[in-house]
Amino acid sequence: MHEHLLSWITFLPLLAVPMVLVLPKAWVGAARWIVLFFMGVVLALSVWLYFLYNVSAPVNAYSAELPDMQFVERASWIPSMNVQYLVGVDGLSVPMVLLTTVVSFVGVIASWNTKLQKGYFVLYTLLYVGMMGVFVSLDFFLFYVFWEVMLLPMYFLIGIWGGPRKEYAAIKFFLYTLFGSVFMLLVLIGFYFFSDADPSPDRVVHTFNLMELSRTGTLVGVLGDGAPIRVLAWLALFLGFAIKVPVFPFHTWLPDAHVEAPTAISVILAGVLLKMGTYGLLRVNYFVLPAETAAFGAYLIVILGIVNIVYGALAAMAQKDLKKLIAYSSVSHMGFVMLGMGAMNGPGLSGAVFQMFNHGTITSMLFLLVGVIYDRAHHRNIDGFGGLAAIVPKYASFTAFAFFAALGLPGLSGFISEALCFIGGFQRYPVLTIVSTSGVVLGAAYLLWTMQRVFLGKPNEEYRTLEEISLREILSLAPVGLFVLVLGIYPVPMLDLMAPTLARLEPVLRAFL
Amino acid sequence: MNSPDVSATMMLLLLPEVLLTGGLLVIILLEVFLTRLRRSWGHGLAPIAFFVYLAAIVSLVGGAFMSNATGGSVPSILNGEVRSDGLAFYFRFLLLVVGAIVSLILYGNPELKGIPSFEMHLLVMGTVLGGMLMSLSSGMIMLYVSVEFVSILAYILTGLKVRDPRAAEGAIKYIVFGGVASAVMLLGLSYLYGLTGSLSLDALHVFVQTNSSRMQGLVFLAALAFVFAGLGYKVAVVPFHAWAPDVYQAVPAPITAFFTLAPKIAGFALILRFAGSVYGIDGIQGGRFFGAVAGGIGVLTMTVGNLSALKQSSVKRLLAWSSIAHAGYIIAALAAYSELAFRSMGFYLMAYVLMNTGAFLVLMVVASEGGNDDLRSFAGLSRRGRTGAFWAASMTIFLFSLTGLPPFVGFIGKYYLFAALLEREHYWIALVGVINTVVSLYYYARILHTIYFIEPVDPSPKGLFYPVHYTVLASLLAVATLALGIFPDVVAIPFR
Repeated sequence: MHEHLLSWITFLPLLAVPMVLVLPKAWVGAARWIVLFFMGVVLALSVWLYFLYNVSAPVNAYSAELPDMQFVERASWIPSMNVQYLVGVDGLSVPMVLLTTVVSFVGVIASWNTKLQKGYFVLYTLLYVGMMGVFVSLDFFLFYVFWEVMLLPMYFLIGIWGGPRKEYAAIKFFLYTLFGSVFMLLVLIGFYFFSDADPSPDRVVHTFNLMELSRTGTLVGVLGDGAPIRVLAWLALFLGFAIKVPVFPFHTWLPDAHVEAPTAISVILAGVLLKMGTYGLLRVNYFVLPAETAAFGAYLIVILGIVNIVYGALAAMAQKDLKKLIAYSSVSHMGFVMLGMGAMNGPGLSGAVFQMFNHGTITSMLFLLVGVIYDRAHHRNIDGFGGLAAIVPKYASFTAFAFFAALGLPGLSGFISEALCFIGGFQRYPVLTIVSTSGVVLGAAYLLWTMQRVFLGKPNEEYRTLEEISLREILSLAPVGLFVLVLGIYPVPMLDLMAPTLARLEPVLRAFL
Repeated sequence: MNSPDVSATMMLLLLPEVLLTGGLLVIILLEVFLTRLRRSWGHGLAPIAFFVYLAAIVSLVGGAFMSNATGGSVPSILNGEVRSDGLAFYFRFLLLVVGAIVSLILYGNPELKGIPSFEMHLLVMGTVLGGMLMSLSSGMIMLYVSVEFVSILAYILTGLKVRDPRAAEGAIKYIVFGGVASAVMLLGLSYLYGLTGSLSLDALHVFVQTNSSRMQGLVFLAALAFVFAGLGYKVAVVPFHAWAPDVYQAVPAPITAFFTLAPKIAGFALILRFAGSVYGIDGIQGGRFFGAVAGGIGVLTMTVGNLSALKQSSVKRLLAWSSIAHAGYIIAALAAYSELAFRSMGFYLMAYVLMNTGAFLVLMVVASEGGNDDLRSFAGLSRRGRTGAFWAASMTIFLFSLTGLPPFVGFIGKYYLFAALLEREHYWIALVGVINTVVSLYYYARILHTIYFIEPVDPSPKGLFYPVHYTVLASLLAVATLALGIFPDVVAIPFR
């Protein structure tokens, strides 16, 4: 079972699809239970994966030199193109796998009462498979296929189950992301043809294997070490991933998509999809093209990261729609990831990856909570509420918890990751880091101000009879909230997990500085 | 096997063509002898045609096995005019499959009411036969004759709906355009004959290799350009495409589907044969120039095709322009002029057959209800009738495949094409190609948008009217589109 754990985690929920499709009309309610069951199973499997992952006793390591890449499965998929079904996880991907299963599980609970459940849950499952596939793929072609596969269900999920401007948001998301991806496709093909995995001079072996490509000397010819086209390749990849993160100025699809998507989809979008962008940057740009990253890439990432942080925060401050505010705060928080990544040192990288995980959990909570109030009031206008703390105290406390996590209150996980990013960033870019700390202040500003407008002050008469947060909604918050709380006090389990892989990456980058 | 006489082996290799000719004769005889029962007998033709195609496929595959077993030397027949090799095999196979599928589509299609069915099946089968002959051509006479064969039959097929003025207009446009194109091609061929003294395409290869005078070289290039113009018209690439949208619009949807498939496949067979013969693969300097021109044409075609498709409100016209764009992707790959390029073009054509046929099938089903192929008739398809969701889902698969998204075969096809281009460092062409892909998403998604996001125009949804076997056909195509997208290696591409 261990050897194929990743395949199980990725593909098991597909079994839910035929089950849901054959459900007769009277039994449609069973669909969500089926999917919940499968998501629960993969959640358990991913937790098991976490406990099994062990650098000193690696399970199915990729090679003796790379003991941190474990649970590797290899099968020939399209021999004529030398494409393999190659999956595996390391310190970078295990947190992402865990994040995906947790958020997907929570998302099902949040989607409990959606309309047209059969279609919804089929698409939801397909989306999950796509996301998980991206995080476990070690073959670039496979990675790309999963990356694109994710777009189809997303388009429909936003476009059918979304808000008033759903069609616009859906096609904007699709076109924008596809535009970035096709550049990735070109680099993907380029990597293949200009790679040689076989050191012996008599034959040339092209490969999509990201581990092979990450070794110096595998990329040859036009993309050989030191070649100028590599810069173009780095930028093309950056474009594709940057759109996903989203990096300013490629972020304009995000507010629309987040606002119009239904609650659970917003949760997944912000909780997982955004991380795929930074994950891609690390997995491909950092590992495969470290020289370019060290030369200019990291600096570019840091600069844009700062812009994300400050612009995102300022834009959030200006919002009247609660969901849009949180969307912009996501832009801002992903900026911290970029700052940490750009630092290219121990604290920076750990902070970045940890922030990826934490932001996933925190933002999930935020969107879930917005969903709660939207379900009841049918609007998200911040100024339309007031004094809700007196009316729905439980809801208010959950929201307070989430808001404090978002602004990086010590004791909650966000603080640790942000602090690590700052420490790392300060070591390399002191001035820029100081500028970025304003993001914390601004974050506190808009979050606390929002809290004041919505929960404090005189209770709004219109909402006297507002329903308190329900058990189901609390259950959807609990898993992610737990991570936020526990990791804030004891982040070691997560940090130690990432350490070996990041320790492998750091010297490679440093060599090119 | 260079003997000019008719021999048993030769007949066996050409058995598929013989069978099709037999099929044509059967249809003619049936028409003559069943004049009284003509109207009721029209329906029986499609199954007959289908079985003829099946028999031909079997004989084709059998012949390939046999020639492999007997040592597989490539026989040249009829004084080098016909060559039965891997390229010919693949394209004949593809054409026969198209014929079989089309015969199924023609069976019971409501749009074909005003059309005499004997003539229609005759012409379709004849076109397939002509296309197969095009795939077999390796000499100039065969080349010209087969192209003309296909063209003339296509002209008649366009104008077959006698009482429809649009059909007549389309036919005239086709004839005029095609006539000029053929004349130009013939002129080019005659110059090539003059330069080389031989009718065989291989002689061109020899000519290119010997260092000839500058003047001769220029004439040669001009002649090549003329021939290429004729072939380019057949596959409808820019700037020889002007006839296509009008003709495609003028005929009923099943015939449009046929037109976007068979002539293009046959045309590409000949283009590949021509390109391969003249310059060889990984060929000489001239090959690079030729390839660059092809790349330029491809880029123009895909751009014009995609941009024009954006403006269409009729889905039929949209699919017509999209097939022009797809021809553009294929011909752009020729810039690479490598084995991978040739293989990718062949693969893409197969993928194209699957996705395009599927899309047209759904179009026919939807158009049958309202009688019009406008975008609005797709509204709310997913919720219409009892099978609306099935058709909506199929269309989703076909449209995403046409865009070139995984996990469908269209993605693998596009991937192959771009791979061929990048292998030979044609970065700009590939770049334009991918940007065009994104553009195409917009208009394909617009159809899906109408299907899923918009309410049906008619509040009381009637059922969709279509022959029963369409469902089976659509399912098969959809499954194939998905399956081959995940496991493309199932289709091994035999190539010389």
